[in-house]
Amino acid sequence: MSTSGESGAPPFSLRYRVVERCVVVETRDPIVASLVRAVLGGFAPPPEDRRADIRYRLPPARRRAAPGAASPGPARLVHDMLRRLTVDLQRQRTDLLFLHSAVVARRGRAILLVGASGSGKSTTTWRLLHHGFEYLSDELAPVDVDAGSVHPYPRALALKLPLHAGQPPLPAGAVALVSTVHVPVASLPSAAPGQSRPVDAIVFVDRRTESSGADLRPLSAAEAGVRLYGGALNLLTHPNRGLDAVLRLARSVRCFALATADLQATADVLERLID
Amino acid sequence: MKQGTEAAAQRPGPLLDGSVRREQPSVGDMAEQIADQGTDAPARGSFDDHRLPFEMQSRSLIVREVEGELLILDTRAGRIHQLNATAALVWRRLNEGKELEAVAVELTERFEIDLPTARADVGRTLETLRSEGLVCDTDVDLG
Repeated sequence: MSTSGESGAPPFSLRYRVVERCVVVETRDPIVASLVRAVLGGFAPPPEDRRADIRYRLPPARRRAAPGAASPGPARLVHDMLRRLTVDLQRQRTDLLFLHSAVVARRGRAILLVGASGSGKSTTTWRLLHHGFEYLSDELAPVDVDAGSVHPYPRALALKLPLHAGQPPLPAGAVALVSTVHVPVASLPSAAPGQSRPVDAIVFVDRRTESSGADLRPLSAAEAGVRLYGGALNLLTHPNRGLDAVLRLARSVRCFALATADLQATADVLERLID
Repeated sequence: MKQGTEAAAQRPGPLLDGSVRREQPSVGDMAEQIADQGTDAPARGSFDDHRLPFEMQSRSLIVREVEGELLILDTRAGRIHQLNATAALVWRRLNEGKELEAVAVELTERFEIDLPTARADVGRTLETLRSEGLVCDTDVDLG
């Protein structure tokens, strides 16, 4: 991946509006371009005259497994670009608080599902999208703390394989990318709003295998603050190491801990929470 | 009375690190562990054991009160701690330079417990604060 120029315009120049920034991905490789479209196609295009704020130039990917080859495969190229994008966005939008969180919405209000990797954020999100929830993100929540809202980050929804029992099956159009399968936004069962949504609640997801059902417990602002601090990515770009921003958010919205072993019960609990 | 620090810890990642923090245990799990320790574990020493001189480790701390509880961000260690109302009171009084006995007496007045229980609570809380690096032993007599 490079940001330096090559001679001539690449045949694929893909433009997306991501958290109000113009992201341009250029490549000569049609397979890489198709993967980029699959994972970033949920973002709207920026105005044509908008200059790039973030630009990636992806080299042609190698086609066969070749240990020691200079260029990685197409899936690895795109995977690495996505990781780089989350960092570059934090550099561009220092006014926002970035949380490691999935985000869904219902009735125009957003629920943040915060948790460590493996806690079930994406799995829960995939299920909720089959229950009328809108999709904003499965990975990253760019929160405007002052406005009390969250920007959409509708990257393709990434699910680890194998799917859990009882999960809706993968749709046509899902693409494998390193260790996960990505479901493009166009293949999701519900809409992905292009606008920010007010944050109605923050739910800290803890997937339990030794119990049953779903238990939702209200959290004090202090406990929510501690948990949010652990889930924030760009704390050091905010005054007082992000503590005040985290606490403003924890004080301004309802916060809960969700211990869950049952996706259907989780969907029911969250439906009741927002309805 | 639930006492001790309901502490949780999280090391902030490097600036602008957008990577997923897979290496970290869940903050909730750590909070539960330490809360359990504060609630159920026997005192790890008598009240007299904590009469050693100590100093508040305050220069690298950012402290915020939230609905009667304290959040203490230890910027040097990269950890955040949640203190319940009782632990917050103990931490505050120690930070003001109060004697341990005076803190124990105040606990008896506020929480309707007897003095031996209050002494044990103060001692246990101080031990937890020490183990979390929020107070440090020192040879300096703070008087």
